[in-house]
Amino acid sequence: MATHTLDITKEHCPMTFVKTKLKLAQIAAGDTLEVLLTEGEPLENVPRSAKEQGYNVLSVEHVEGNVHKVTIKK
Amino acid sequence: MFDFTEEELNRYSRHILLQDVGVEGQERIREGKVLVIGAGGLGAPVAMYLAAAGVGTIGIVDGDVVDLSNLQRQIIHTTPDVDKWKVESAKETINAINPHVKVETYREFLMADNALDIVKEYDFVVDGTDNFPVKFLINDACVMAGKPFSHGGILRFEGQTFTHVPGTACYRCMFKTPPPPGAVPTCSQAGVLGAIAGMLGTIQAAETLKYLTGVGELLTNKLLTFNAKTMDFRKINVKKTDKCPICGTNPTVTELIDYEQAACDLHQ
Amino acid sequence: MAKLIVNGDDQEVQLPATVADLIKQNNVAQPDMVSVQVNEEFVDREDFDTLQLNEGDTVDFLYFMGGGQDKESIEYRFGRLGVQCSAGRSRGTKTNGQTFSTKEDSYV
Repeated sequence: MATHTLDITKEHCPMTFVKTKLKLAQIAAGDTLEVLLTEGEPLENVPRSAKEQGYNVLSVEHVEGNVHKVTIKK
Repeated sequence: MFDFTEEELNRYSRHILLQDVGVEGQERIREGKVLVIGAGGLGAPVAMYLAAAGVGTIGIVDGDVVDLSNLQRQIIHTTPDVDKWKVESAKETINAINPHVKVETYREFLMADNALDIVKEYDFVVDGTDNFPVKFLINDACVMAGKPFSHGGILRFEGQTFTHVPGTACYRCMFKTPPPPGAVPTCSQAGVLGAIAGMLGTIQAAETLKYLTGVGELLTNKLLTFNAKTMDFRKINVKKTDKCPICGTNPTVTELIDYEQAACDLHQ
Repeated sequence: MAKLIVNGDDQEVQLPATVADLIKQNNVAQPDMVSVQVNEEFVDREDFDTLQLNEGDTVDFLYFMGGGQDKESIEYRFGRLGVQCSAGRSRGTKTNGQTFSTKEDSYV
């Protein structure tokens, strides 16, 4: 069970969730994806959209400054 | 796997966001090969929306040139395209919308002796034609070749369409043989509201994309009809029939037919 | 009077009535061309005059739709493009320059 990281701190919505979905499609079932994103739209949209679409969002944590980490298990 | 460029991710983002599509669905669209027969009223919106969607290969069959009277509804062609071959005009528009699409043009009319060879390369066929002989030809060729297709027809303010996949009702299950020439009014005689072509054509495009992505329920064993005057839409349940002349238990149609022969012979 | 459902709408019909009667009563355009389903089963044209309808039957009239061109425009189109018909049919070209005219030709 591998852990992967995706840094979308430089992305604007909706590319934030698009890239999250892409990465989730590419990793193996059972793997974990840690998504680094910024406050504001990405933080509001990505975890919520992930949950709505049936992904298993394990946690949303503050990292530092305006960067947050969303952990999703595939 | 799911090897999309930044440009493609951006271009198709509104598809990828859909839970029912995602990158998996977009990949299937990209791998799809769709044949659009007719670059006219119906073929125009179909081809444009399939191009926009990123269908990997779009084949276009049309032996005609663009006429001024076409522009009222055949929105893939524009004023400077008058007198140009329709397939060339269509290809230009498709690639302007989406340069990733590979367009294969057949500057030709679909006939009994080329139909099977043309359809065989494609995953899905769209009937965007404007005469009954070729509609029956498309039906027969697709049934024989085991190809799914979307049938479409419009007139005045109405439209109708259904989707066929092998094992479901075909055109001949509903209408055994073509009407005699002149028996049924045509758009050239009765007219058609331009936007009706858009209404029906985009339904056909949606059915095509649903087929490629596996989303939703296709209009199989159904005939969808609408009347734009009232905006009444009806889905009539239709069954594949054992008595069908081509897909039934004792087919009487065993080879492709050029019903248009009679009309052609008038031209001497 | 019996209640039938014709093209999705309720309709009062005087029984006995055959399919042919219903076609007439509904002023069906192109009565020789219409396809008819009764209770979602197609009725053979030769049975229109004999098949009796019953209370609660659903009847659908299916019409041909989709001609865009008529005899004149076919002639004009074929004439303008120099397409010969029957044996002398002209051929088209695929974008890569290959011409095709018979089933043996390859389009790859």
